[in-house]
Amino acid sequence: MKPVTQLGEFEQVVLLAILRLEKQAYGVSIRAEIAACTGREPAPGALYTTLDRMEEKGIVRSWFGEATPQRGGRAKRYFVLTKAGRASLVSAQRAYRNLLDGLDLLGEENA
Amino acid sequence: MVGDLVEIGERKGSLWFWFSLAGVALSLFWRRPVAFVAALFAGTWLPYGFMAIRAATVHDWHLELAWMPVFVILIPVGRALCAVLLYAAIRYGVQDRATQMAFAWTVLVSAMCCFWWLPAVPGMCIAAALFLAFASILKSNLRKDALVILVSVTVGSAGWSMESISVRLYARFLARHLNIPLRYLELREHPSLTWVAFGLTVISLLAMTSVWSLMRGWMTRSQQLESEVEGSEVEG
Repeated sequence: MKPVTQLGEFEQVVLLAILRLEKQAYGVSIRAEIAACTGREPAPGALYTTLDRMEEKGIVRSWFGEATPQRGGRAKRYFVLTKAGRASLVSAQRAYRNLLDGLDLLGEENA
Repeated sequence: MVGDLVEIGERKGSLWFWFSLAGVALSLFWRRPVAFVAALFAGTWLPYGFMAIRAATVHDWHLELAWMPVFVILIPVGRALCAVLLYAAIRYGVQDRATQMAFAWTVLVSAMCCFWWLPAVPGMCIAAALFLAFASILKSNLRKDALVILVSVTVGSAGWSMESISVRLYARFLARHLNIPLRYLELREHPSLTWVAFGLTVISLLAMTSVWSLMRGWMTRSQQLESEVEGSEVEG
């Protein structure tokens, strides 16, 4: 079995956004999803660098979709997780869950 | 990417669009030129570093002459390794496995080039090199990285060996009337010699770094094919 790739915090945020968007994950929608869920809008440079790096590592895969007039006739670049990406994300989230175990961080007191 | 910025720019205005485009371009493309310049610097000056260390530490010139055939191969290889290591570390990061392997080889070859006269060093370096070579052959995940390093460094060191031969031939051509080899002061009167050497250094480095990037891209693509895309179960 291949060793999982270690993910940074922002990489995890982007991967979770891609998962939530299902087959509609492209630059604009990923950015909007992150903003809606976390309250912070990532800089386009940071987002595209991260997506490019994750594609190089084989964590996500992209393909070009349809071109639309409101984008100046340019095609959307959609992203999905690969199996390796999902394994890395599961491993990272499991580590968070282990750290949270026994803490009441998300309980009523802090809700 | 530009399409995404156009789409958001309709709401945020043209100033936002141009600033974001500049930011994205900078964050995506700064690594390549910086990595190339750093590698060029290393490739140009490191041979002098090796020579300076040898000149400062070695006093037995008979021994030095006996080792000369080894240096003829090791110095261009060490130069290529140092240059490609800097390039890979800046362009792909120090966590990249090929970069880490290039670091290990660079340490071994540099130690051989600089401290070969200490009796323990050649033995330890050869043993470590053999271990690294066997590990690279036997472990499938290291094999591709080793191939990237082998091909790139072969291209780079061959290019730089050709460069030194070409520069020597050109210097001989410049001094054909004098019938003697050019000395330093006479060389300074021929700036073309420096430019020829610099041009050939850049061409060799360009070939080496291109091979590294192309092969790494090929490695990544094959890795992507291995980790097939998740279908509905991922998004579901």
